[in-house]
Amino acid sequence: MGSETLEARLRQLLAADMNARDVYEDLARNVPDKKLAALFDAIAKDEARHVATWKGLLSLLEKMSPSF
Amino acid sequence: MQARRRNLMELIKVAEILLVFIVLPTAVFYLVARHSPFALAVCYHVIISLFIFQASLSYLQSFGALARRRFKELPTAKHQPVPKTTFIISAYLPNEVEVVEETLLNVLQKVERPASGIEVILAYNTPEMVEIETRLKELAYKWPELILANAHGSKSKSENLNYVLELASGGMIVLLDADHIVRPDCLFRAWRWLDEGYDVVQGRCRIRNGHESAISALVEVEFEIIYGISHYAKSLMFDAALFGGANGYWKAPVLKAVKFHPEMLTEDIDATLRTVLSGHRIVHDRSIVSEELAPSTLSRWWHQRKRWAQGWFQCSIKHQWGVLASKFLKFRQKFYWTLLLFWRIFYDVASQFLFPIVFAYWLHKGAVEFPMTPFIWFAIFYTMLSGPVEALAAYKDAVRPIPSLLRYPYYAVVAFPYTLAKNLLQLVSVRDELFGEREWIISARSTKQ
Repeated sequence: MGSETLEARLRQLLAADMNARDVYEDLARNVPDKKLAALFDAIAKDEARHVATWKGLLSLLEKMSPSF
Repeated sequence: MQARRRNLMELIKVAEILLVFIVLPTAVFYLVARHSPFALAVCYHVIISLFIFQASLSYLQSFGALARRRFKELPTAKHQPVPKTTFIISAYLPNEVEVVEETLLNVLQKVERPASGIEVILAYNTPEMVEIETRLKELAYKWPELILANAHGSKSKSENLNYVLELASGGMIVLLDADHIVRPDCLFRAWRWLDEGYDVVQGRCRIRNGHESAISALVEVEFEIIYGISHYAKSLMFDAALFGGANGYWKAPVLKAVKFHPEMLTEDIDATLRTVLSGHRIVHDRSIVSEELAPSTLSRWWHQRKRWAQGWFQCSIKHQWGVLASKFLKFRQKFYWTLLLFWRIFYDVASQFLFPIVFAYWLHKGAVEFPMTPFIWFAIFYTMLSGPVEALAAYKDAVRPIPSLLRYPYYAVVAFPYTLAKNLLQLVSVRDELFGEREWIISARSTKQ
């Protein structure tokens, strides 16, 4: 797999996890049950960590690759 | 049922406008005529003069667009290669399900790619999971450069766009709507302007479903006039252009700094004005063609155009003073923007008074007669001819191949009543804005509406 394809796939994952984070944050805000809300909040934080991971990887790739 | 109720509300608004701008002014002008027939005559001639001025602008554009501007590289050109480019395609699913796949595949398969590559971001929102999302995921698996960005909770195009700007990694960003089919050479044509110092390039938008109905045929010619004549001529005469919402090519840092404001109904015009008022430059290139769909029913046309008119009115209020006070705009550019902002509203309001003045005259005379003088004959001929001249100029410079020649004489014949309808629509939009009614009705798009 070339670096361009790797980068593209990472961006696809980034978008998917941004959406997942937003959905879980929305659920955490709006679900009436407090325990469920706490659960969704925890998952949202997980997704936010995934987002940060993908952004970090992309930043690393950018520094490594001369083609950027 | 909801659509029917909405249409009924619009009819009521039209009745309100006719009451305020026709019936009541007729009474006022009748009183004026009784007190001073001379004063009524002065009002009549002032209004007629506005029509002449507006027609003159139309002629200026029509003849101005005959000039051919071939791209000539300026000394400021840096000769940099086309950078990695991000296409952002905005879509509201499920309304635009039928058209979005075709648009995506056109970009992925047919657009000539720069050496640095492209990425295609579908910025969409949807109230529920729709079947196409599965197909889109399959597409994304096949094309790694396709990014599906579901802007959760978004209620507008602005929010969709702002959401995905964070994802965009290209040095140039192309903004398209879900129904826009761009031509393969768009990136190279656009980049040459950005390379020599412009910050935004607006391409030409052409209607591809003019065959569907009388209204879409009218809009097809109208778009040739707007993009092929009006925007182009103004770009030549005033060195000013605007971003029309789609088929726009931006330097990425500029777009990311400008962003879009969701409270504005025409977020594109608002972004344009904030862009030029911060010293950036926009150019129009009519050789960069994309094809889109026009509303094919009167109701859809009305709601779409009303949103545009209301958005322009919002922008007029927000930006007119800033335009006049701008240290970045030259005098002719300020004139250009004042025509689009203040003059547009003023003319649409003032021109309506022609009818109450004539009705008041009839009431005063007790007979239906037309006070014809050489000046009035000239005004009628001059004004009525401006539409056909525009249509002729548009035909001359229309994107080839032209689907049907008959649409041009059709437009020429209905140009005047069509303009009156748009003026009336403008007044309804002003009414809505003053009453704080901002309803975003998605312009439904399909290949068969």
